[in-house]
Amino acid sequence: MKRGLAVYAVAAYAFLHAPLLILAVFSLNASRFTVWQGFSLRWYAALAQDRELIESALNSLIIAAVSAALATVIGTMAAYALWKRGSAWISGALYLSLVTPEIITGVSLLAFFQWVFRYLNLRLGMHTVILAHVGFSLAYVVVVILARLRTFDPALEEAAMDLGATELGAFRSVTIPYLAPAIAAAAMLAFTVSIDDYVITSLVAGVDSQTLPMAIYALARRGVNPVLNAVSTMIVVGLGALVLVSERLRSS
Amino acid sequence: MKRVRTWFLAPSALVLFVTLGAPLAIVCVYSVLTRGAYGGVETPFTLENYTRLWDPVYGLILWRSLWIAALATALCLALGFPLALFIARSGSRKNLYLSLVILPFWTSFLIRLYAWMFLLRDTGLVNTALQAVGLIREPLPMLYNDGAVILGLVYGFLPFMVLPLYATLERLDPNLIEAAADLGARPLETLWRVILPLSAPGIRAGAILVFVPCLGTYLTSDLLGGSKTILIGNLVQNQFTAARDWPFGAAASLALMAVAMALLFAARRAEEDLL
Amino acid sequence: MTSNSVLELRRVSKRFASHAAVSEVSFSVPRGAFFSLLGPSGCGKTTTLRLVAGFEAPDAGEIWLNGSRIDTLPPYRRNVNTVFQNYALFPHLTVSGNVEFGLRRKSAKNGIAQRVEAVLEQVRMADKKSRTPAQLSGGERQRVALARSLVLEPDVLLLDEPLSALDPQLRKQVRAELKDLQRRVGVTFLFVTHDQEEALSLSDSIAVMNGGRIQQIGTPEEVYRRPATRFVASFLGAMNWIDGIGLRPEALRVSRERENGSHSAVVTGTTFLGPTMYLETRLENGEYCTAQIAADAAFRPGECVHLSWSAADELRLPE
Repeated sequence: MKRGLAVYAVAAYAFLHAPLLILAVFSLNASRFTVWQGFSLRWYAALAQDRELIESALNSLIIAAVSAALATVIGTMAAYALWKRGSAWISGALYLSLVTPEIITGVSLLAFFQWVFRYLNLRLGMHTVILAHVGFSLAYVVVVILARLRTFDPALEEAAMDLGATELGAFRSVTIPYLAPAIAAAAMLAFTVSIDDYVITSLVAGVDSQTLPMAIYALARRGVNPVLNAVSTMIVVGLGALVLVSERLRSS
Repeated sequence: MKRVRTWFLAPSALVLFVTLGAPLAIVCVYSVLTRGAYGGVETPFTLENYTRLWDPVYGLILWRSLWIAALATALCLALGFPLALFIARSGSRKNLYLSLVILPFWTSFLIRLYAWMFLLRDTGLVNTALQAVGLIREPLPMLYNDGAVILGLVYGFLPFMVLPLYATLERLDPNLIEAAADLGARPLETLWRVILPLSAPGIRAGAILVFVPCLGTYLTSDLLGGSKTILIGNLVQNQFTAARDWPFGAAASLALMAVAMALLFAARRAEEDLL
Repeated sequence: MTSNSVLELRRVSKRFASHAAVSEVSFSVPRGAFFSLLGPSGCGKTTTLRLVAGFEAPDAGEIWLNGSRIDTLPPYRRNVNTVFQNYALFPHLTVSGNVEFGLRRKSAKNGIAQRVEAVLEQVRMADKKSRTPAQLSGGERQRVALARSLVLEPDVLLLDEPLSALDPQLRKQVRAELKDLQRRVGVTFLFVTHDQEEALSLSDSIAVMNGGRIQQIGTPEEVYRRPATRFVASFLGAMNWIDGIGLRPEALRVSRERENGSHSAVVTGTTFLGPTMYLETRLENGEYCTAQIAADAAFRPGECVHLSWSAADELRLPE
């Protein structure tokens, strides 16, 4: 049976990875059709020229960086507080945020923002997107930090306080260094989740803040576009590397 | 001690209120309001949005969503179990094989869906290749139907099934497998009589982790589905954008939430019974 | 292969990546015997058992069961059954579900219930047949594990340190029950243990192993009184070595008066054992020596005593 399982595993891994690998291969296709006509970097060159795509990419990077930073700070603090003593409300809310289908999160945020904007003279834009992203990234950060905290010996903080540190001081000088790899991993995770989001972002972005996923969606809907292969490959490679580093940090 | 904890929880409490609590509350309120003349909402409170959900048209949508989610979950189980078994038995390379399963999931959901569009379109790779080899003359319509949606869902959520299955299988006492063989059971029989029953917790966990997101899926059916593949997620999105019937969209959202919460609650209770 | 031996190993060897777990092991187990493999952890006894069960395949040598060669067969085709160290009861089945597991394929449906009932009676677990393993005590689980294997009527029953998971109190009681069961049922037992007291009290024959090899095979009395090597001597019980001669503590006589041929020594300490006492002494030549004496003997540290023994108790064994 072991041989059979191994053969099956190869097929399963092929199924999981082949589509993206094929995209990568065809991003180097000289022809714009799905027939291989030689090796070429022209689509990457075209990508570099596409102002709209580059602008959306920049928007995405800014949004991801800011929201990841905020989510990491807020989430780490929350995880620490939860670790000290649980809170059914916060834990419940975090769980809810993880299991709520994205479309519902998106439309409810849209409804909420529109309602608020009747009283505050604001519109949808980068700020609403960032707020939404912090919202859904929070749970991921908390999960990562909590996992790391579970292997942390509380006696270390007590030792610090015994030697004269305040509670906050102990947190800063003992706990944070211990959490450092997990914090970095959580930040990368939040970044990844933010960069890829389409559903929620498309609903709360408004007219002038187009993100990369939104641009990709529009291109994908319109039909054959080999530049999309190039963009996709770059994103996959970039995010893949980020995730690998994040996993390494988590397990160190 | 308590002050630190309160201050540390405050920011996340605020964020969760603003991005989850208040929005969901608004949706609840909207679901009992009436659609305004120019979109938006108006005061006459009504339960009409909920009664409208009983219309057979929407019943069909719910049924289709349940059916597709169930099929996708079953396929994930059938395809994921042997893979989880393989990884659990792979000794020192376990972590490597596990990462290979998780990695694609974290890259980009949107791009992974696009990859299948690239492959399955009428002008996509599969059709081009089959035509070039001469197996077919006309392109096969593989995209924009229920089948493509199920394929996309299985592709996207397989890791969600493999992980809990792996966790359960990994903890299985290897002595039990040896005992079964010792007592005369051949490998397939051992699988059926010992391994599968003992993996029940993992199977349950994986099924819930796959079924609930599949039920509420939007992007997969939007990109890979045809005009007939309208699932609950698409209905909700439609009501909030093109159709501009926010109250009805709100009611549909809450209905979906209710089903999802009920399933999760039932699953939790089942887990607790086990422990 | 003699007609009386049911299991025979011929020069069986097994190697794992870094070391030779079993080297050229040969022995033969008579039908109906209680045969033990005794040795310290890492000596290869469990690997030998697993080779007989079929969970490992030998690199060299042959294993014969009832006149046929079995070392190339998978476990489910050998007529031997194993009682695992942690019992390996199926948690999702009841006691009777566990016991009938191996029967389900073989016999007709109606015969099964009776056979299960009969074997559960033999191990005195018939009244608990609807319980699950989680609801049983350690001793009860062991009995179910025995029943599960015995119901299949194996040619040899393999037991991998079945008593080590029990509390010391329970161990002695279960030990007696096990011996009694084996006599009643008449099945051949191949028993693995690191506890020499267990092996001595239960076995008809003992094979003492060390470093993957068999050091000696014999009855309990033979391996205890006439050990073939220093290792066997020291492993089976406490040993003293005086001038290269081996002596068991109970073979030494201690008296306050000098006797013919006695050695003088100074008492360095005593250890109360309950029924007896260990008297630790230091000889004139500096060697230390422990004698086993009556518990009420009143010797004190510093006292001068005289040790003697009979030549019949001397063990002269090479280093």
